[in-house]
Amino acid sequence: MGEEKDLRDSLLMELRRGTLVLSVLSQMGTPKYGYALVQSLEEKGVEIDPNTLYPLLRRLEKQGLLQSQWETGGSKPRKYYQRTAYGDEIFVELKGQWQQLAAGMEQLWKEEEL
Amino acid sequence: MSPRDKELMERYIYQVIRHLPKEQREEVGLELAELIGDMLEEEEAKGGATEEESAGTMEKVLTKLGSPAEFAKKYQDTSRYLIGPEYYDTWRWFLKIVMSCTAAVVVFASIVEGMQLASWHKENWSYDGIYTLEVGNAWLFPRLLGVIGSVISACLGIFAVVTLVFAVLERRKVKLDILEEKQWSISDLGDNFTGKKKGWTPGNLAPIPHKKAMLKRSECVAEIVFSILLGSLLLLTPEIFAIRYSENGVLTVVPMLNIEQWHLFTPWILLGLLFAIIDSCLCLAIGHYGKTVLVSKVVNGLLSLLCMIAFFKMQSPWNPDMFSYLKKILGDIPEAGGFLTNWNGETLTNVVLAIAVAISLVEIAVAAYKYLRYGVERQ
Repeated sequence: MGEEKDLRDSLLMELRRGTLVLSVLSQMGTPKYGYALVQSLEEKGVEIDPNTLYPLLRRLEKQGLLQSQWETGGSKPRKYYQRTAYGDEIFVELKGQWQQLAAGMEQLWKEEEL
Repeated sequence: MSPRDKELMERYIYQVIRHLPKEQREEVGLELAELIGDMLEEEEAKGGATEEESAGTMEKVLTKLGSPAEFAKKYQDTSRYLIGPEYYDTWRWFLKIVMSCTAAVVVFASIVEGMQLASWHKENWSYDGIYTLEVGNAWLFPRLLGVIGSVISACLGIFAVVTLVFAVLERRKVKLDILEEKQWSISDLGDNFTGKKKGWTPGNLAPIPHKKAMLKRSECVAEIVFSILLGSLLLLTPEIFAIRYSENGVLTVVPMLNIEQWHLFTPWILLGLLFAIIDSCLCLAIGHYGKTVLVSKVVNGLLSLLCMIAFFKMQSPWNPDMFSYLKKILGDIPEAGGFLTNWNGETLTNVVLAIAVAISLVEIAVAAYKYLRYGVERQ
């Protein structure tokens, strides 16, 4: 029984993991800080754990897709992330690929129903 | 934030960042403080702002974030494995080669060492024409166990070193050109379907060896083990090959081999052993009959034959006293008369040589037949 649940969880996680980078990139056109991003994604129906998001942001920055800046103006220092030009390029490409994939998927399901 | 909450938060942050590399620690610490602060505010806004209720909110937040070790794991984008997919195959291949070499070297070194020990083992024997046993042959088994122990510990050591090296390579992402992927194309399936051979292509794929041409790995291993055992016995305790005769409570052991001058013969045994092991290893590596196996068997047969000729013909390896002793104990039996006149050093030598040659010829014949009948050759 436990194995079934494990399998389900891991498959689900794989599915979500695939969309994670794209979801995050899509929001980073304007500077945002970590927790605000968590909240805005949640509002839009994309659940994400802070302890997944924060390391992801770091990784994307390391890969050159995002840039960061510490804002010390407010009540507490905040790290703001934003897409780089390279990040914009990649985002557009990924988005296009996603739409193709989604269209393809639709086709597959349609045929199944028939 | 109450001092207590602050303390709790700092403890949590410390637990996360201690697993991270030094450069990241400060920044991640700040990030986490930011995050936890935000989450705390959110929680406090949700619930009432009373002192009692806000007492538990930090715990709530930290529980939501989960185990600090798990959190730290997500920050570590370095491989969560010792040797990854990129290096795994190379590592295995390398390990196999190095470990077999190590094992072979250790065995050989042990044999040589044993030979040196064997020469002063002779003081246990008293000689007056024949050796009389005073100490048991229990000497051999601890020796063999010792060899096995050395091989195992040497191999484990090598395993550790090679694995360590590859783990470092993995971390450094060093490009290994050795087994680098080259362009795959049709010519890899062998038989030069396309003239050009650029790296791996379908044209390069060797034809599958015929089922009947396959060499059983277990046979090759058995050959190696047998060779080593026989070789060890001959080299270390030639006294074992002896006629044991008990009379009046006295056990007399008549070695069949010329123990006194055994050092003259040991180089040939060693060489013969070496050739046999090389041949068996080659067969093991290739795995099926073919031109290479055939050549190896022929070469091995010839070289072994040379060693045996040197061994037998340069000087008689037989204990000169064996035959006189045999005459003595068998002399009373009339039927033995004919047996004794015919058997001496010469005839024994020739018989043994004949058997050895016969075995070699059979091996070569089998290899030749399998090659010609089912012959396929890896390119």
